[in-house]
Amino acid sequence: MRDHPHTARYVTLAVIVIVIASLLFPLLEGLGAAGFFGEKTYLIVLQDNSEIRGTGGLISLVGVLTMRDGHIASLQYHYSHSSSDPTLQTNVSLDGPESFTSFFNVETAALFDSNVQYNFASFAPKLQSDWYTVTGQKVDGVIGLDFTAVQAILNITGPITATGDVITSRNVFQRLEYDSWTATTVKGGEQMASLLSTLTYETLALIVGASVPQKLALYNTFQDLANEKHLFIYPDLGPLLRNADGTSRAPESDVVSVVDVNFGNGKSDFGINRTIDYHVQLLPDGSTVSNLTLTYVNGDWWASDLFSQALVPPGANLTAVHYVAREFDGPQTTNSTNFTAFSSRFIVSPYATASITYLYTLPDRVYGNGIGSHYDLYIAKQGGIERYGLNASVQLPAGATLIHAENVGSNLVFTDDAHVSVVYT
Amino acid sequence: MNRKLVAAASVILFLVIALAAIAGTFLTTAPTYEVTYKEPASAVHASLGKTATSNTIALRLNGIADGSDPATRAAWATLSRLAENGTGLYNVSLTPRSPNDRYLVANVTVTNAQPTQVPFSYGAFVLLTPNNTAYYANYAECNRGCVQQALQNQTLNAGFSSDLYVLFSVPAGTNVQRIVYTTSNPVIVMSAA
Repeated sequence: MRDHPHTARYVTLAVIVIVIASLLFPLLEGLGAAGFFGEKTYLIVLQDNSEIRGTGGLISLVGVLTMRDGHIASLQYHYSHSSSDPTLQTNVSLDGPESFTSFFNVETAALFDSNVQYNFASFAPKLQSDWYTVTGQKVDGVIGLDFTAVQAILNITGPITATGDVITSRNVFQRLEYDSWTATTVKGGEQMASLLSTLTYETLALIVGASVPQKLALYNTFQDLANEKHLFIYPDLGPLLRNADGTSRAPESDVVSVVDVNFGNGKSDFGINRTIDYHVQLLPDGSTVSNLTLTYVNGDWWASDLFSQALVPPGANLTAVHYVAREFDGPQTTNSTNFTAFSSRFIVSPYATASITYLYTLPDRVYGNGIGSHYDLYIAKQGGIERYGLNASVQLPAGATLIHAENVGSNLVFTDDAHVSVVYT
Repeated sequence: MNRKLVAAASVILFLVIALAAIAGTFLTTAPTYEVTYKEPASAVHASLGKTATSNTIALRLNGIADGSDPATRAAWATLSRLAENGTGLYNVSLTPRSPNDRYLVANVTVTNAQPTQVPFSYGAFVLLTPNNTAYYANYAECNRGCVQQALQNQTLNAGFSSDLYVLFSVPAGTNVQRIVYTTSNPVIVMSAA
């Protein structure tokens, strides 16, 4: 009888500790990241997502940001095409993925062109290592953001003025492209440095000095950008900014992840509409027959040379390929522990449509639960891509009765990962 | 005592949930900045197709077209190809990023009004609506010789005169009233009608 009040007290105390800790740990993590417990140095990687690459876009520049006590202690930018600073033009080895390196038979690339991994979380530690090799400088983390992220941040900060020009959320990405082009000239370099330094300082000032609604709006923007894979922070900040490292966390299920690379097409990718058509037939033994079609509609006036890697669950067996595209090269199939990758390269003509269809089988994609059988498909969005269309259809085994379906249908549009789910008996 | 602790835990939990809920309310109302521009009293004005001159440059607005207009697209593509071959300038898509947006292209004749080099920035062009909402230029295209001076070096040589296609991103349905060149002295205001 006497133990009972004590137990209740301890339980209550434990609840309070858990609540406080859940608030405190992210806070401490945030303070640590801002350099309150010792200087922290980060690489800021600006990716031009109008020129798509594996991790989100062509690297326009890399900044080295050192934080101390919540303030910027130092900030220096390196441009990809600088004539006076060759840092990002240094060749580094590529350690994969095999679907890329074996297709092109390449082992090295310039640092600014080395983000060929499937996601930012795979690229960031390699960049940290390469950065140390090239510059001798150790960094604590890597922050990646693309032009969509810069645009969203400017929506919160409001316009900024850089070397006399007004930069708004509407014109920032083309101004960044223009400035990175002219960065090879002295004036262009100054303009780019001014623009980015102003943006970095303004954003930091906003985080520190903004009103509560502004801070919350900024936090919400960061969370949305992380969900939509326009902002990456490595290592992951945990609950402070969920899934910000860009890792695909799809549980064991059916998965489709399309990772495209633009091959010197200029700034074409905002003009290309991407659609994924996925039809899956569920067989009584739990295996599936999948029909995956990737469609690219080119709204630009110039042709687009694309390399497309479709990542599907390991063990996929490719049975047929159809395509409507110019100069089609592929497919190449590569297998790893986590994925089977189908890689193809092709041209999408101006104002035209190209498509590739992969037909493949998969073992054991349907699982039983308490109610019946369920099938889940996760579409992992590529970093940098703004949106994609999804047409998903699921054919149940003969005689099955549908209980629940989610995101099955046509003309669905997503700006983040998609989850298709079917439950049946 | 136990009741107090339980109550305290409940209150803390409530506060956390409430804070999250309040945050959720605020978070959905992120501000979007509308930029405005007030033209100075000293500005010089020109109607569509007429030239206005400042201390350094003379400007004439020849017209404003939608980026989806085939003739505009063709002209833009031709200039981009020329520029790309000559200077490495990027191809820039005329497809708006969002279905709610629209690209407008202003054709402006730019002339150096001085016998010497003068500074120039396409970024100084701003498109104004009747209520002075301002949309600053996104990009510009012109012929090869023009690109090198006006876009790459941002200076116009003596005798320079060329048509410049200036791109603006605006919300669909925007009513264009004026194009302003904001860094000349005096500021040049060109009427769109």
